[in-house]
Amino acid sequence: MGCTQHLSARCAIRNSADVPAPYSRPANWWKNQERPSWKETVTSLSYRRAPSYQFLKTHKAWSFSRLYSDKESTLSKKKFQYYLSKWKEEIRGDSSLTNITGNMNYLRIISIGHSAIPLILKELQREPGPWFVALRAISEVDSVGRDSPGDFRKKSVAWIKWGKDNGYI
Amino acid sequence: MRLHPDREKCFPLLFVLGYEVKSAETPDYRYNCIAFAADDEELWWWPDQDGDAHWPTGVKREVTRDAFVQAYETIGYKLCDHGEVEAGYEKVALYEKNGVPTHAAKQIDEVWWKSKLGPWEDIEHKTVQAVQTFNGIGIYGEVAVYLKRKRI
Repeated sequence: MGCTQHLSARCAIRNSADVPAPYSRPANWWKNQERPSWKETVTSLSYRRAPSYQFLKTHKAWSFSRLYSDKESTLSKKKFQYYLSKWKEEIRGDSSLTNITGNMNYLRIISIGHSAIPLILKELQREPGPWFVALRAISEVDSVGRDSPGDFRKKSVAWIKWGKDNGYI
Repeated sequence: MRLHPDREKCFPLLFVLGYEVKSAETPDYRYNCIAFAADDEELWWWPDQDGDAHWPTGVKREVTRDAFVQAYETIGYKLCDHGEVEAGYEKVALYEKNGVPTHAAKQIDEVWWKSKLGPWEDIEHKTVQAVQTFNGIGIYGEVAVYLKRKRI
């Protein structure tokens, strides 16, 4: 039997184990955790149009959705800006729409995927440009701005409206 | 007024043969050289397969000399032998690089031709050679054909 001083010290230790430290998770938090539905997950993302097949039923979906965090959007933004400047540098005084939209940096912007859509639309708001091929490829929407061939300003207006209607901007 | 040095570098003969910038660039891709030579400053002309650019109705959408000649034929041009000035006619020079159409310039008078450099500025240059490729440097290649129509 220890002295009362040591006993109270042991109790203090035990008590401290029972009381959660500030900011820590409660005991068994992982058992009671409510899993968000994929819809909730999607609306919490920066890019609401992330393809739904990434948010299917398994628990893994939650951790996967976290990839679309602000960090991800910052990375996409950096990539977009980099490829955009390279693209402008490379197309120079070219008139060929085939070359302009087939340039490797243009294709790399398409490869960024859905997170590039708001960035492209912002670029269109700043300055009309031949972004409709990229927008069609990423969004899989073929009908926007098709009625004004050659008029890139009208096409831009149509895509910006589409972006607003669909919550991208 | 001259182009930015980075742009001038793309046309090695331009400064040597003489040119002047005539309007600001059009970063909004309003029109291109093919449209400019056809006196259209509102649309981007190109025979892309997706139909995003303007191309005269009934002309094949393919990037070939025939398709470009046919496109200019829809607005009254006919093939001709040379780019010398002919009284009562206006002319267009069609450029090709590696057999692919790249550019068009329009004759203004005895001295000057005018070109739109993609989304960059409109310029006037003293010869058709001014925007041609030289020693492998250049975007547009060489003049492939000339077309003419009666001046209206």
